[in-house]
Amino acid sequence: MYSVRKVASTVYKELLFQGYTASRLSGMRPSNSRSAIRASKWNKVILSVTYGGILAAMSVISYIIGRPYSSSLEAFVWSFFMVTISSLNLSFATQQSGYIKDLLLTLSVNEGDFSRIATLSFFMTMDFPVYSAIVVTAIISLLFGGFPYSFMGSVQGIAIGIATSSVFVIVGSKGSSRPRLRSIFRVVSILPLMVVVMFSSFIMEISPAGMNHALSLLPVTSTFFGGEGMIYAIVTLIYTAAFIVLALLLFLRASGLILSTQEIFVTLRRKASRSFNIRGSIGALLRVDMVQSFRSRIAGIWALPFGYLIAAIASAFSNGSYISSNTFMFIVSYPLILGIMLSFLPYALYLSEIRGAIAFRILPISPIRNLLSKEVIAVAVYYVAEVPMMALLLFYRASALSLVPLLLGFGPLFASTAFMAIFFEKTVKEGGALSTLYTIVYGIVTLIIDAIPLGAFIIIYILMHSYIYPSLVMLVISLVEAAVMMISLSKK
Amino acid sequence: MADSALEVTKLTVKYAERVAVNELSFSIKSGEIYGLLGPNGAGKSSTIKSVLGLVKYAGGIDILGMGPPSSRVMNSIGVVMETPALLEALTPREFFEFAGSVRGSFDQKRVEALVEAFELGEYMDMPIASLSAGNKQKVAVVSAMMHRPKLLLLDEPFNALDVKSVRIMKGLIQKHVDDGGAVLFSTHIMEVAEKICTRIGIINAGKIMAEGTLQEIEEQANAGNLEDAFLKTIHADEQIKSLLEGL
Repeated sequence: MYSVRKVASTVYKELLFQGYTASRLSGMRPSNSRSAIRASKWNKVILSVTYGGILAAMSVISYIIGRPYSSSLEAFVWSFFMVTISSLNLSFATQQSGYIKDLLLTLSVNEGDFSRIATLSFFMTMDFPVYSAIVVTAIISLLFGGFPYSFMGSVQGIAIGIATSSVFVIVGSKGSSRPRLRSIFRVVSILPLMVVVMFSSFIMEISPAGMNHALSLLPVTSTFFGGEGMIYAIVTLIYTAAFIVLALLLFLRASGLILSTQEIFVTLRRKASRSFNIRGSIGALLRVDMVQSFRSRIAGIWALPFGYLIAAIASAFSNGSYISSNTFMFIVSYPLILGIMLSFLPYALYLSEIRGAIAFRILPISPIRNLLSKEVIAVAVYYVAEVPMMALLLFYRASALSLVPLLLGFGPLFASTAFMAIFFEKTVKEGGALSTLYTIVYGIVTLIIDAIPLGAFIIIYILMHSYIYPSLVMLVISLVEAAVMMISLSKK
Repeated sequence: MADSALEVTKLTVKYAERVAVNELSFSIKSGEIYGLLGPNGAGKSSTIKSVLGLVKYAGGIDILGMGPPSSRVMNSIGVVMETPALLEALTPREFFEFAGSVRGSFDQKRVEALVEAFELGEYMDMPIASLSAGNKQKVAVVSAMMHRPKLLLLDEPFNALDVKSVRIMKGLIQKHVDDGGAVLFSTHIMEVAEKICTRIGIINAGKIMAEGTLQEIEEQANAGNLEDAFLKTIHADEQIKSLLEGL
């Protein structure tokens, strides 16, 4: 006789390892399997401790500076990230998890127990972060008293986080007779993540007094008003309950799929035979990058920069005078940050290559040539996203010279994309198994790479009050960074 | 004397503290099929991965006189990995287009002939992810052979292939060497090695234990066939006897 919990724990470990190393997808095995297993086990613990610490610090600061309502959104955002990031690896593991079900069947595990095993093992991927967020915010709410902003925000963040992780599993687990629709759905599935990113940038700018009270009736923002009166508290509770129900339904739906998934890609596509279409080497790489990313689960990343663009434009229209009176601040806070946000895109393109990493290496594709394809896509998307910003600047009668930083502002993105290539090569060489701390360090270095040229731009602008020189310096620093990165990449 | 297709000198591969390949040396000339035979975990796949630059290694590798593995060298190599190395989001047609594009050469007639030979026609516009293991292997084989490479690296290439495809594949390998190509071929199936290999290297615990033609290997081990010679060379024959007695 077996214990469902023990079987679930074993299944969880396998899912975790596969998700962590992606070795079944890449075909590469970790150079050090023992350390990969150890790292995969510690991944969620490290995540829970670091993100839990940040969540606690941000919430406490909100209370101390007299903005307890802000802690609801702080808790919402960080709890959401803790849960989604912790279980995101699972989406790699479940891409080929059907073998686990087959194995369990051969071991005489009762098919009726599968759903319980799947549910338990799915929850184990996010249990520590959930417990950590709940405990931290409950303690903070009890300590500071009053309406439990932090706790309510955390519960909502956890619920939406679980719902998002479940959607990622559901979206990628089934085939469809309408592949394009499926790709669009994958792009849209990242919407919750986008909303949370938007929220995180507005946290420090808002207070219930300065907000339209209509927002007290909307999901998430209603928590902001929770302490303003009984009716607001009830609205918050209703939304929280609704989020929990939604999360539960999606979670159960997703856990029913995680052990039965055999393929992530659409399977029913049939076309009339056509001839072969041969391109130049870079053209072929560009096409494969686009096709792979759109057909994979990470397709949603394409929505992120454009979502930010829409939010930035909406924000700009709501305070147009701000643009004409402080063009510099607008350029720094929106168009250039948008460029930095686009760093996610090449990362996602590289990530979609994990599946089939060896295929790239047994074809005559050098890391530099592969990088060039990512650079072309990243810079092209940069300009597509920046054109509306430039139009906005001209619309608000900003100087034509203020377009120079935007025209040359692809530099930081160019440099961080080159760094992303090094990170990817390292990831593949290690069989997809880099420790969480290593990943965090890489994330910080990416930000530094972006921040150095941007910082130089800001300092030189303040000294010279010109757009041309700081933009040129920003570009030159970025290109030097990129050149260093490319030299390092070519030596690997 | 035939040209050297592959020179491996004192190759060493380590995974953490475990030595997978230990100062391995061998060479393959054009027109040869070199069979790398060994039990599971002997270091066959690690050797092939080193030749492709997929794992960190110490020692010397010279491919087709062009030096160690690099993206430039890959244009002259065809590879079939133990687990097919494909981009599964693509269809076979898209994958062949991609491979042809990055190699800078595409012989449409050859690709169509290979597709027909391996009966892949009806799967050409389906995502590779949705194909059976055998059909994925066939896609990998077509991709490895479509550009008429000088050197073929085949790691258990007959995995999951049906009988007809195995026969076609053997014929293609033979044709490849008849045209002056070379093959490094890893397997643990003795019958296959016996039939197609020009020379054989028996590898165990990362070391070459015996090397030569089929006849030389059998003579060295004083055995009547390759299977017996193999088991004697890796000192497994007596062990098997005692194990069977204990069962």
